[in-house]
Amino acid sequence: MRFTTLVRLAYPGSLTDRVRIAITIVGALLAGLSVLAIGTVLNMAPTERRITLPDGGWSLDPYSWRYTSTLLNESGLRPGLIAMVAATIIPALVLLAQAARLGGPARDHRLATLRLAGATPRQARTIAAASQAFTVAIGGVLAAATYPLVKWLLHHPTMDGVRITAAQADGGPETHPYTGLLLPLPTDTWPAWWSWVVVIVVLPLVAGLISMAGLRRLIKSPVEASRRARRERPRIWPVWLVAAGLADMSACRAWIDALDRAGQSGDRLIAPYVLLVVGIAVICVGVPLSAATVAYLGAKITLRYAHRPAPLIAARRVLADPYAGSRAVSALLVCAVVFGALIGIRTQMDFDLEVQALYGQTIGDRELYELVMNMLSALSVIFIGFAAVGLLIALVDAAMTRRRTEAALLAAGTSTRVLVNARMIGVFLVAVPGVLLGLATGFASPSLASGPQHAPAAVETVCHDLGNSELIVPCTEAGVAQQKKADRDGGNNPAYSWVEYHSKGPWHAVHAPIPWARLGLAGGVDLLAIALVTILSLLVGRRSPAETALRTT
Amino acid sequence: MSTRHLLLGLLARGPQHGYELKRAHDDALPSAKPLAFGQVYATIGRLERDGLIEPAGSDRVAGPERVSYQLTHSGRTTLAEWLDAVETPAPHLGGALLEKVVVALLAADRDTATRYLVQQRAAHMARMRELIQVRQTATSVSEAAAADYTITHLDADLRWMQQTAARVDALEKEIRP
Amino acid sequence: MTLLTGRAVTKQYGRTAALAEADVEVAAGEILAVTGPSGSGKSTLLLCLSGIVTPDSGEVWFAGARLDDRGEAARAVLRRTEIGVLLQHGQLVPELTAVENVALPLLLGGATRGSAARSAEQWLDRFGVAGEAAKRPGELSGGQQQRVALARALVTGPRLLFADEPTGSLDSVAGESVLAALVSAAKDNATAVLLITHDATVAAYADREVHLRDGRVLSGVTA
Repeated sequence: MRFTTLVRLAYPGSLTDRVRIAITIVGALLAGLSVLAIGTVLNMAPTERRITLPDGGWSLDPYSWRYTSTLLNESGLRPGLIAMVAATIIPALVLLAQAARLGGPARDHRLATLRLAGATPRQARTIAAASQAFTVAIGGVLAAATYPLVKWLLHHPTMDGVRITAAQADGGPETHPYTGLLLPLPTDTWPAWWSWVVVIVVLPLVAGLISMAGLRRLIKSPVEASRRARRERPRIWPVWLVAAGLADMSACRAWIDALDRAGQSGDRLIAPYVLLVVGIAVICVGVPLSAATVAYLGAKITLRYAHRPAPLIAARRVLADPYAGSRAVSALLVCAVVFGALIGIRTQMDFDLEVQALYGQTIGDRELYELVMNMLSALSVIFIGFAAVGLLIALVDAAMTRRRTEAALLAAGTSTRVLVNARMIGVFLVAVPGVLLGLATGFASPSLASGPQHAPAAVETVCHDLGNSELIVPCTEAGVAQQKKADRDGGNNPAYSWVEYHSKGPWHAVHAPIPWARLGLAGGVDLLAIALVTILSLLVGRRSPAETALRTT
Repeated sequence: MSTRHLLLGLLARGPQHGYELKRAHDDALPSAKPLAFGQVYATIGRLERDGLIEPAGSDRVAGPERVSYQLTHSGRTTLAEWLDAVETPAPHLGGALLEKVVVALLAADRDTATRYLVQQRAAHMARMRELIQVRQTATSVSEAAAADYTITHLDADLRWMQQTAARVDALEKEIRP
Repeated sequence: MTLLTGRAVTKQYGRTAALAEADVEVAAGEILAVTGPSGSGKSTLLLCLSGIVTPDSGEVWFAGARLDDRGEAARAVLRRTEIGVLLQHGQLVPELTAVENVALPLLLGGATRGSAARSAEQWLDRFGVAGEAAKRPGELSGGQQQRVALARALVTGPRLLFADEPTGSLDSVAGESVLAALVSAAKDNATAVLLITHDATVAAYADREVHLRDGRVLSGVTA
């Protein structure tokens, strides 16, 4: 097979193919930019250095705090920063995965036809892989070409922001505070060399290999693949996977608590924490996979109790192929897990602050905490956007493959209303239980990871007069609250000059209350996105005329 | 013409008189035109003249005397020969094919009927091949159209044979309960 | 000379036996019709004999060599050199033009696009669809699609053509002309044909006929 033949067969140029190629290029472009951003963050020159103090200890010299944000300046926050930037690649990968499924049946059919016409398994694999690899490579090259431009556009040196003064850099005699212009983003750094290689070479190769792996059965025998009986019942093990993940996390929690009580710390804690992270990963994989099983059960129940045609059609469709629907919404189910986890993290941290405030503790950088939280929220919004686009693609694709059956149903006198309702119900049959499962497990994970807070039985407050700090005055509830607020937000005009807190009685474990409102909101947003996308897909689908679908070829 | 063979086939089951033969004929071929009594007795007369059947006895039950007939040796041979012969493939064979199958089931068994169908099919296929050859090499449209006419009719017969071959068992049960 | 031999070919789908020890022989240059009712295993026989599907047991010999125990790749190569396959419908790649579809086996074999297209055009011309060369299958009538598919099955000059109900989805006039084209091209190129059909008129185009019932080849139904 010559190269020109390979290119021709890799890009046969149907409409769905063109859409798939466009989306794949966009996905690869975003993934490429994300990788380059990770490469940049990892390549950033140090912002601080360690200096030895006269007493033998050490301190950090902020000699190059050249950014406006603490997140970029403090090297201690670097792992968190890297994790966040790395997370941006997930939506791009979701988009790529969703695009790869677009027009799947047509592509499988085409490859089977090629095999029938005498293509060897290797040739068919090469064609499928080349199609994906070339497209991703185009996106990667575009990313590599765009990155310098983006970097140049975002390069805005400014005088405003975090600036360290000699006085603030306490302690060391040899601190050299940074004095130049400040940057809002690390636009002074180029991505590491390997990130360019990843974008241009590794991403396309991996994309090609993945699309090859997905074709194994089809490639072996073109006819037997199409004849194989579809598995009716979805597998049950993904549900056990979620259960195992949660069990693993609970066990690790207990382990960590036991080590804590025994006064162990440091290296001994690594193993349980690693296992904890494994548990989270298992849950993230398990939830989208369980969706098919859960939807299958939902469809069975619907079939038993529903009497109207729309739910019956929808339930039958889910039963016929529980995986098709769950694949479409899988990204949004991951969204639900992420949302649940974010709410869980936030709930835990807020609760920690609240409990600590009881006995007068405040955390250092409230602003940084808010920044990280907002960035995570923004990230999840971007994520849900991409997941919604992915769902739209999947739904339009499913509608295209079902066009013939739907046209036949229409011709047989089924009303459009029933078909539209059937599609809506079909999506929700999978989405609602999936979103609930995702939110619940996502929320449970950080709660299990951080464990309960410990609070004293009672706290006694001693208030010092605002004018004369030596003078102790009676505490009023309102006054203490005002003082706490001032301590936390750095406001002025507190009620007292200072307040002493004395913890009394035995300490006991307290659990954060479940934020039903927030969870409800997140679930609502997720389901709303699904609903909107479904309606949008119906509008797109309406434009495909039924007559052409019924015409025999 | 084939009424002769039909009656021979019906008599293969045992001696019957004219009235019984008419009833048996109308039962076996419900779609065919019912036999007139005159035709039954005329045919019986010709069969007896040709020595294919002979009187087997007579009875009188409140009415005229009724003579029952049975096959002669010569009659059995004639019937067997007829069953073994295929019809010349041509349009409008009409009920001839069905009659033969029915008689085969009456006089013999399903294997005879199937064997007949197989042989008839082979004859039809051979003729079909010739006709396709004619159509391929036809020099005028009218020649090709004439060939097409026969091909289409033979095709209908072939289809019927295929269906009947698949239903010989059921047919036998119906005719010989 | 025997070109293709199937000996006791058996194939099961699940618990259903599609083929039960079917024996069949095709001589070089011969047109053999395999007839039988729906579900008698005709298509499975074709798939097994053409090496598209591996039989569960039995042997398939093509041109003096075992075919069923060769690897997928070797059998695929055979399909684009010595064996042509023509099915009822759906074997054209919908995204490729008629001429590209016909050129496909040559292109997969490493031919240049130019030379493959020239051979393809000759075959399209022979079957009277040269004017449709630049159209995609969706723009062609059923009869034209089958002619294009026939051109593709024969473009490599195979020694044996497998045809499964090639006129099954066509009306009688279109079907007749496709069959006539198939038979005359096969005779001209000394290509043997294994013709699967449930239709006696189609079977009448063959030199010889075997009958299949319940996955077995019946003897006694011969011309």
